[in-house]
Amino acid sequence: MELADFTRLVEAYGADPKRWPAERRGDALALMKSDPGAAAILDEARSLDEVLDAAPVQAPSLVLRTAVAASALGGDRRRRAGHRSGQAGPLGRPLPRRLAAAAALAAACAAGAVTGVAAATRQVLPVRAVVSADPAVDAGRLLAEPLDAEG
Amino acid sequence: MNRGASDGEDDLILRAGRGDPQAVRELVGEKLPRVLNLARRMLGDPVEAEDVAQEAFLRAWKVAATWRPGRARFDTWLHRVVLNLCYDRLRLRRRSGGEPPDLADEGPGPERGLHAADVGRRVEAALAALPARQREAVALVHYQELSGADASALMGVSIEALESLLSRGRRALRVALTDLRDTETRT
Repeated sequence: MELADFTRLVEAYGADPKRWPAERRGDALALMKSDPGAAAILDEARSLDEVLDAAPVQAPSLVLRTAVAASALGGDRRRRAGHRSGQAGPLGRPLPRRLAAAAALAAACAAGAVTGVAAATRQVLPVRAVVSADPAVDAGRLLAEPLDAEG
Repeated sequence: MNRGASDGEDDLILRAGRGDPQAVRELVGEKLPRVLNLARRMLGDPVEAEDVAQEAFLRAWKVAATWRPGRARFDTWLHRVVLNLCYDRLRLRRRSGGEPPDLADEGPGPERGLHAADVGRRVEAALAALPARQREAVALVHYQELSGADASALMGVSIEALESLLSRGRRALRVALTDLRDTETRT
C-alpha cells in the first residue's frame, strides 16, 4: 500500500482501523509503521472522528420502548380479540379506541416494559401521543380486566 | 447493524414474531437505540426519529413471524426500512419546502461557549447540510459502524462509490466543523 492509498482509505473511513475494510487493514497498519507521513493523515482524520462523536445520541424513552414493544404484542392481541369478538374490522383497521388501548397496555405490561399508564395502538402515532390522553381509559381497570370483556 | 448477526438472532426474531414477550423485549432493547439514532442522523429531528423508529418496528413485527433464517440479515433489512422511511420524510420536506427545526449551523462565534450541547448541535447541523447520500454513507459507516461492504450493499452502490461518498461527506464536515476540530485538538 502506498501513502496515497492510505490517504484515500483514511479520508473515507476515518482514523479507527476497525472501520477499515478487513482486506486492506493489514497493509494499512503496516504502512503506519513504515511511513512517517501516515501519522499526520491519521491525526487529521482522528480530530474529525472525535468531533463527529459529539453528535447527540438519542436514548429511547420509556414511552417509545413501551410503544414499540406494545406494537408487537398488541397487534397479536388485537388480531385474536378481533377474531373472537367480530367487532374489529379486517387486519389493519383500527379497533375501537378503548380496546386498542387495552390490548396495547396489556401487551406492554406483559413485556415488562411498562410500569405506569401507557397505551399504544397499532398505528404509528407521535410518541408523545402514545400515552393515552383518553380519560375513558382507566389503566388500573384495564389491567384487571380480561380483554375479552371489552365490547 | 451489529457485525456478525447470528442464528441466535434469527431465532429471536421468530420468537418475537410469535409474540414471545421476552424476545420482543430483547429485540427492542438491541435494535431500537440503533434504529432511533440512524433516523436521528438522517433526519436531524428527535421527534421524527421516534416516529420512524415506531414505524420501522411495525414493519418488523409484520415480517418477524414469517422471517426466513439465512435469507437475509435482519439487521440489513431493518436498516433499509429505516432509510426508506427517512427518505420518504425527506422527500415530503423538500416538497413542502420545510426544514428540520433548530438545526441552523450558527458557526463559530467569539461569544459562543463550546459546551457539549453546542458541539452536538453544530455536528448535527453539519450532517443535516450534507447531501442525503453522503449523510447516509457517513451515518452507516461512522455512526452505525457497518462495514464498507455492508454499507455499500445496503446503499446499492459499489465500494468505490461508497468511499467516494464518504470522502466527500467527511471533507464537507471537516470544513464545516474546522473550529471545533481545532478546539478538540487543543483539549
